[in-house]
Order: sequence, then structure tokens, then C-alpha cells
Amino acid sequence: MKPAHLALLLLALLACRPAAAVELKLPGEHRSVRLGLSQTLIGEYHTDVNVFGGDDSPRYFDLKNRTGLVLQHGSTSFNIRFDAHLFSGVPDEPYNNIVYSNQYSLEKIALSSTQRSFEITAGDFGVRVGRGLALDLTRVDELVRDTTLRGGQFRLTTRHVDGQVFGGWVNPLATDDFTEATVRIPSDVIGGGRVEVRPVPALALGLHYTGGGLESRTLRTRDAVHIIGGSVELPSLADRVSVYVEYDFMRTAQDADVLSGHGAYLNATANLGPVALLLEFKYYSHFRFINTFGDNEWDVQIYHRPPTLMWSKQEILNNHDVIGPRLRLDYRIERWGSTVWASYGHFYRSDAAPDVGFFDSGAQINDAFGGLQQTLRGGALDLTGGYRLDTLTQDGQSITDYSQAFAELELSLAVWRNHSVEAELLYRKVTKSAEDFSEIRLSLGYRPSRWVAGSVSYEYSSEITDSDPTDDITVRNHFGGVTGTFNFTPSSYARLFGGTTRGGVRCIDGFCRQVPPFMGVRLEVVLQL
Amino acid sequence: MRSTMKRLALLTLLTLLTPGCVTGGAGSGPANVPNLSLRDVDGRRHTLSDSIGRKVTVMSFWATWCMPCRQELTMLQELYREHARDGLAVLAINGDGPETVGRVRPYVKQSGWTFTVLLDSENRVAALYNPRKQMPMLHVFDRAGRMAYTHTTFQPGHGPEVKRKILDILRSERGAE
Repeated sequence: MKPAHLALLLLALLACRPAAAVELKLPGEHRSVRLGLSQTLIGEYHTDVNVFGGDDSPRYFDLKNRTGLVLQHGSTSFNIRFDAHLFSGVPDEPYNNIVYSNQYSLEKIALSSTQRSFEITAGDFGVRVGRGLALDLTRVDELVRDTTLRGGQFRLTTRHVDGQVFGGWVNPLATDDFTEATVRIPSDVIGGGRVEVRPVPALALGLHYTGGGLESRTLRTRDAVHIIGGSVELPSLADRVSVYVEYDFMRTAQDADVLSGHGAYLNATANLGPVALLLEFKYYSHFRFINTFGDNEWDVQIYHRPPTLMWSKQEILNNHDVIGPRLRLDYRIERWGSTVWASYGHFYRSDAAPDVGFFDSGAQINDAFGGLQQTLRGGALDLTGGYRLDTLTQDGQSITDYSQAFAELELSLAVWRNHSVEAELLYRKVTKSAEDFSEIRLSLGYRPSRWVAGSVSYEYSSEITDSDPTDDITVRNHFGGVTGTFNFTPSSYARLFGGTTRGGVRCIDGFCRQVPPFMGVRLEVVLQL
Repeated sequence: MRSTMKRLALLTLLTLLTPGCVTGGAGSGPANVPNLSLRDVDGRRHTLSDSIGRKVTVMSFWATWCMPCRQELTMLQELYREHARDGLAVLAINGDGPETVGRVRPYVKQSGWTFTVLLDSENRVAALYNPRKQMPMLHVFDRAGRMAYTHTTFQPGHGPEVKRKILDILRSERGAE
């Protein structure tokens, strides 16, 4: 794309300043059609994809366009998402196993009808069964690939009974957001149902089943997964206590092997004036609902997310063979606008020695973190810090498998009239696989008005990420960039970034991705109606 | 390659121009609200059309890990306390994942929020009103159920503007009664 074309496109975007909502009046129809549009256009020029050095890294341009459209007329809605990914200047040969190819794809399409007592969807839909132990295909953060089931879903809602049945083919996005690799989509099929009975509002009894036929790595057979489970929930006892308990049994047939897994989860909360207590207990044994259908890091489809109340950015090495409790205490000091909190979990792992069981394997996790949430006059401050230690026992001696100390600060503060500052700081010191490294991420932002904002970012890491540290490649430790944002409506903006970002392992709520580094310029234009 | 780029640019331009410049603006007509129902943190069922199309309704998408969401909802709680009797409703649509959804109830109770907090565990409301799943994101519906104002992100300077917009919609609706 020529710069002139891009400029023209931007001018058109800025000139339109669309309204908050668009309602289309149909001839002869008393009710209008609501049109919702979300349009994301991202243009990136990668000046050096391999920011860790080397002469063979390509310099290329890519353009991603995502157009999402919602049409709603009373109880009927139609959703569609169309994506286009275009590349210019990438090498013909795969780079780091990444195949870049132009993609035009109808990613999501769904037609739904919602009535008082039932709801029916044909096309793409997200689904979560219970607390996500038996199935979770809902995108809640930017790290998770937006995966849906493409098929049908029927949901029944009566006064005392909620139920749903569903089935379909797995439909992840065709291009991975982070690596920009063209994704091979597995031919996995998932189906199931759940019924939840509420004889009284304070009690919910649930029963569910999830079955899957997953594309095998060998492509000769289909692996079968069956999960059956139930839950008991007391959502509000005397407005102070809530309890949720779930158990799931999993049976997996992979080629000639048949494996059994178990997942049990308890979550209990109590609100006692300024004090809030939360107790979690989890028991996951051979409890994995994942299809690794290829050799690449992105050839993995994760179908469930067993709960774990860790620090939201915690890298979790194992959440499928683990047992133990966690207790969290929050204390609210109303007159100061403060909440202080502390959380401690102690778990046993069995993956290091599967034959000897949890308590004899010698693999333990101690995880403690806490913090402060402070409301400020015209702003807020969050401070979090903690320490995690995963140990193994070898020859009668306890050794460190993984350890992490971290501190995090997030500040947002009004300084004068519409002027505000934002700051984010993260420090981590990690020991992993006998390697120590530390990292710092800092971002400082200033917003002089409602419409514009600017920020600078800096990252430092001592982690050696090159696969062969003995070669002559210069390892980069420092990364930095500048971002400018212009909001042309309260919900639409254009953002320009120039510089480098480190990437690396990024985790949100137990789900981690290896994010590639970036060096270059990125323009993002988002428009929402 | 160049021609595909041109085609895409043209397509994008047309997509944006059509709704944005030609048909932008709220229409007139009866409420256009789905009958979607969700549970609140105490297990009670709420249907969107119980509020939207009957009251001036603020719909705010949030999660426990989102600091700007907390600031926005603190502002909305103040507004709700002062104007609930004037016909203002607030629906806080929670989007926590399985890992943190267990924290939602104690978080809400401790924050002292008295408006309705709904658990959108399968993104059913988000699919209709927040397909990019941005947080925070806020819509204001007028009493006829039309989406009258949308705002994303929340920085300290945004509070007065968002508050003014909500009150403008509330007052214009009361004036029209």
C-alpha cells in the first residue's frame, strides 16, 4: 500500500466520526435494525523480525483488517467477522517455521434467536461448561486465540431449570495474532450439554457431559475424549457466603492408550464486614483436554481452563497434576479508600514422578503474593508483589525447579483539569531450568486532553533467548518505544507505535504464549459503532 | 500484491463510509432489545429487557483484574446512588474467565456496589454489544432502548465527561416525559 492510500484511508476515518449507534429503518417495519460495527486495521512494518541479531531476518510489511458486524432486530441477531491478512516482502521460504500467506477469511458467522425461555444459535458460538473444567471456548484476553464452535447450540431457560446442548467443529482464527503464522486448523469435533436445576435461588445443582473427537497427530485415527461431571453451587447464603464445588471425570482414548483423569474444584467465599475470605481447593490428576496436533508452538488447541487463582501474569508450569488449597484475605479500609490483601497457596505436583502419587513425589509449590488497591483523588494505584517456589526432591535433597519474585505497580492519576498520567512498572526475577534472569517493564504515559495521549516504554531482560548463545549473535537486553494515540470518538482511535518490544513468555490467568519480539512501526486504527 | 492492497483499502473505506457517514445517528422506533438473560452474583436471573427499553441503562463491561474498570464502576456507583430513583439502571457485565470468576462475588460485595452485576461467562452479551471484548467499555441506552452513547477505556480525566453524557441523556428523557 502506498503511503498516499493509507493517508486517504485515515482521512476518511477521521472525517466520518460515526455516531454512537446506527439504527436502520426498514420500509414497512415499525422496529429498526441496530447495526454494530467494529473495525480494526493494523499496519506493521517489521524492520528486523529477529531483534536478537542475525542478517537473515526479513524486513516486511503486513496489514491486518478485521471487520465485525452485528445486525440485531428484536430477538434475532446476526454476527459476522471477516479478516484479511496481507503480507509484503516476506521470504518465500518459511522463517522460523512460520509460513506467512495472504488470508481472506470469514472467521465467524452466527445467527441467533433469543426468546424468553429459549435461545437457538446456528454458526459460531462460545461455550463454557461449569467453571471451565469440562470445556471452555470463550475468549477473555488477548493471549487466547479466539476459538469458537461452528455448529448449533440450543439453550433452555425456565424458572427452575437452565439447560443447553451444543455441537460443532472447532473454529480457531486462520492467522495467529502474535506470530502471524498461518494456522493449520484441526478437524476436531466437540459436543455436549449441561443441565442446571435451581429448586430455590440459593441452590444450583448441575450435571454435564462433554465429548470430543480430536484429530490425531498420526492422522490415522481420531482421539476420543469423554468428560462427565457435576456441580453444586450455593451462590448466596445469608448474603455473606458462597460455595461452588465441581467434579469431572475424564476418559481419553489416544491411539491404543486409554487414560483416566480427574478434576475437582472448590471455591468458597465469605464477606464479613471489611474482611473478605476466599478459599480454593483443587485436585487435578491427568486432567488435560488439549490437542497437540502439530510440531509448531501454535499447533495446539486448548479446550478447557481448570481454575487457578494465581497472580494473573504467573507462568504456570503444571495445572493438570496438582493438589492443594489456597487462601486469600482482603481487608477494606473504607475511610482511606484502601484494600490490602494477601494470598497463599501450597500445592503438591505429581508430574515429576507420576507413579508415586502427589504426596510422595517431593514436588511442591509454595505461592504467596499480596498487595494494595488504593483509590486516589482522581485516580487509582495498584501495588502487587509476591514469591513463588516450585521444588523437586532428588536423592533426598530439595532443589529449585522454578522460582519467581515479582513486584508490580499500576498508577493512573489526574494531575490538572483533563491532564492525567499513567505508569506501569513490572519487575521479575526468575530461576528456571537452572537459569537466572531478571526483567523490568516500564511504561509512562501522559494524556493532556480527552483526545490525545502519548507514552514511552522501556524493557530490560537479562534472559538469553537465542537458541545457540555460543554463536556471534548479539543478544539484545534493552528495548524501548514511543506510542501516540488520537481518539477521534469516545470509542474509536488511531495509535502509532515505533520502537522495539521484547516479547517472550506472556501469561494471563494461567494461559501463556511465546510472543515474538517486534522492531518497527505499527499503526492501529480502531473504529466502533 | 499491490492490487490486493488497493482492493482491501477500498473495501475498508466503503465499509467505514457507509454506516459512519450515510446512516449514522439514532433512529426512532420501539425498543430493539434481545431477551437475553443472565444470572447475577447471587444467582438471581435478570433479562436485559427488564432494564433496557424501560430505564436509562448504563451497560459497563468489566473484570476483576481491570483497574480502569474499577475506577469507572466506582464513578457509576456514585451516579447510581444519586439517580436510581430518577430511572437510572446500571448493568455491570462481568467477563472474568474461569480462573478469576470465583473472586467476582467477594469483590462486588466488598466494593459496596448496589447496581446489578451480571456474569456473562459465555460472552453472550459481549457478542452483541462488545465484540472486540474491550474493557472497560460502556454503552448508555435511552429509555426507548436505543444506544445513545458509547465510551471505551477510562482514564481519570474521563469521569466528568462520561457522567455529563449520562446525566444529559437522563435529563432529556425526563424532560420528554
